[in-house]
Amino acid sequence: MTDVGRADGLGALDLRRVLVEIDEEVARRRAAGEIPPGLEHELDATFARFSPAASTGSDSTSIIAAAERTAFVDVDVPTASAMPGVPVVKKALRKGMAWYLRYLAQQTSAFNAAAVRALRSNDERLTALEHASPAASPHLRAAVEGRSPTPTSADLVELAVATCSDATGRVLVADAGDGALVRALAGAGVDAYGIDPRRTAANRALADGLDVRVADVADHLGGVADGVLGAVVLREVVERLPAAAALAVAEAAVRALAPGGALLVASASPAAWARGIDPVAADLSPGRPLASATWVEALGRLGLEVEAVHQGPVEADLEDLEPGTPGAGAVNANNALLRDALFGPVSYTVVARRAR
Amino acid sequence: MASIHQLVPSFGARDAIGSHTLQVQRVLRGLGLDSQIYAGDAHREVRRAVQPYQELAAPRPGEQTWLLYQCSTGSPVADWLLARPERKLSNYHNITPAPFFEPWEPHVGAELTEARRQLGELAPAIELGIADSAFNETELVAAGYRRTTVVPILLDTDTFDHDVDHAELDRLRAQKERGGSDWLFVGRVAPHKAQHDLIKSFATYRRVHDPLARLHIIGGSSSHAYWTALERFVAAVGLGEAVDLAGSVTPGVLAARYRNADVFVCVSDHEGFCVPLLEAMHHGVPIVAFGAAAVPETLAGAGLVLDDKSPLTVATAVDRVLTDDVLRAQLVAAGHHRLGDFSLAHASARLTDVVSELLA
Repeated sequence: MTDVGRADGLGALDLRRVLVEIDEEVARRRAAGEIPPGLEHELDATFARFSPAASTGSDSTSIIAAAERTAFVDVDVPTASAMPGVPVVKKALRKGMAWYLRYLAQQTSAFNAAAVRALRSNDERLTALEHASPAASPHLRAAVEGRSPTPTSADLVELAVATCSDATGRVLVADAGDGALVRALAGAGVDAYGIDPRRTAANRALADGLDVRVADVADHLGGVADGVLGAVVLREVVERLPAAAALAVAEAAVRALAPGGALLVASASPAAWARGIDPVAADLSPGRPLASATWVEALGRLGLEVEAVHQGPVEADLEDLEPGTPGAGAVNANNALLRDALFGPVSYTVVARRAR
Repeated sequence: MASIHQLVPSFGARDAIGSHTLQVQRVLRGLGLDSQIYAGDAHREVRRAVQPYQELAAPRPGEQTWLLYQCSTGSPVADWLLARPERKLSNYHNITPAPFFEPWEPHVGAELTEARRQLGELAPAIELGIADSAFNETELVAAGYRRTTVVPILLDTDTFDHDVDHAELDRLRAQKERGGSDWLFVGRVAPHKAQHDLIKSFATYRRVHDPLARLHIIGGSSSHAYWTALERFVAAVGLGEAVDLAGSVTPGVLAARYRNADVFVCVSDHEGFCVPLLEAMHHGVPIVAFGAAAVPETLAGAGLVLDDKSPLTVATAVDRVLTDDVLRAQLVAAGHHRLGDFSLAHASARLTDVVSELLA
């Protein structure tokens, strides 16, 4: 809890509760129409008018509109001046040079117009693609990102501590989630830190005294120097990213590993994930867990030596009949088939290592 | 005698890094070390306190000499340092990510990109990276620094007590008597400080809560283009009378602005530490801030830290602080308490411990 006020005897105040009340107040005001419709968008659009195109963030419509506004090259340069006689000179120069500048400007304007048209066309195609994906909706994306972190399993903690105990650099855990793995590694004397893009989860871990920061794993690894991390544990993140993005994260992790460093990819198994996740999150998640065999193949192609694939606990089981019970042979054989078809390990961890 | 000399890209008279460097020198000399300051360039007011970095003599054989680099921007000093034979330390104060500046001031963006390159290239040569926040330490680790630690910035918070400019305070109080609350933000006018988002929040606050409110934006410009855009934005949304883009002000005027402020609002997208938050705590001004970069760490509960900075959220948070007497009093009390963590004595002791361990 974030409490203040203890120092002066005024009593503790739970700032988190205040923030929740502020959020509720904002939601109530929006619902009641107390904020003029479009005010915030209007403010954004007004500032965008005075901003360079590249500063207007991810709003591609505004960026393209800004590019369109500047696509035409004007050769009628201003001629005003406070100095007497200068405007006349400037006008004469402008007139004399117009034939030359206009020839160049027409070509530049034509290129600019074509480029902006191409940008707009691509933007429309991209928008159409985004509309085909639930992950494109910020509201639905927030629903997925708002999910609570998955608890760290005891077998992953045990495996990670054993694998990382001799790491020669810092150990990164992503996503850190509830911080349990970072805590266990630190407790075992491993120099570990975590990142998690979910602010609430990361702040909770930070409040517990753990070295956990709010960050996206791809962004973070992009800033890590080559060959400095003793080990990297990828958990959860590899379940929610599309396959290409998950593999790109693994590639960045491999680059950041020191010689001899280990990469652990811990994931729910695809079947268990589909059964265990709530249906809304399953429908809206941009990615799905990959099979352990896919990771073995991918990590091998990234130059790592795959040491082991540890299977997690079996989710559920069917009880076999005692041998000798009438019909036990057939029932137990069917159970075996059903086990393979319906159940299996809920998770797996692939352990791979960079050559020394 | 062992020596720890400091290298500073640019040494200013009043900036936080300049005064930090002088305090570090005081601590080092207090430990019986020889300690000089060498700078890339220096403001004329303080030029006598430093020497050009090119004049640093080669170490004598057998002499234990360290060079401590105050890192906050790109500089030829960093490349020069790499070629030196002495053992090296770095004191990292954060480098603004280039993408904030690139659209507005491409040349500044290029300088910041260069600064990040230098930060990475120095990593293998630096024996200890000293960061002034855990956030900055994370960046050092990410850049490949093997051994890091955190020492708070050495600031004499007593210097926050400037003599108030009473003419300015009278003028501000006359404004206040006409009604309306006063928002304050202090910091360079720069894209990553997001003064444009502050103005959006303020415009929303005026519309929803307090049509007579005023916003004071204090600080010199780091980008002419950004400053101009802010001026035009303020005019376009009809806030010319309510928003004061004051630029740099004298210490007396700054003290008057703090004394007059009802709330300090920071919606920066990037802060490596944010000293003005400490000034606000010192002056008993409650703080509402967007929780970006090192801001949550600097505040540590001594301010209302928002997860998002949509204008309505910021406006609602400010309204809550200004209308909830208990919350406001507790934030102010928490600010005074938090300020103690950054006392000069506390930070000096921490630096002493770090240096003593290093030399042991």
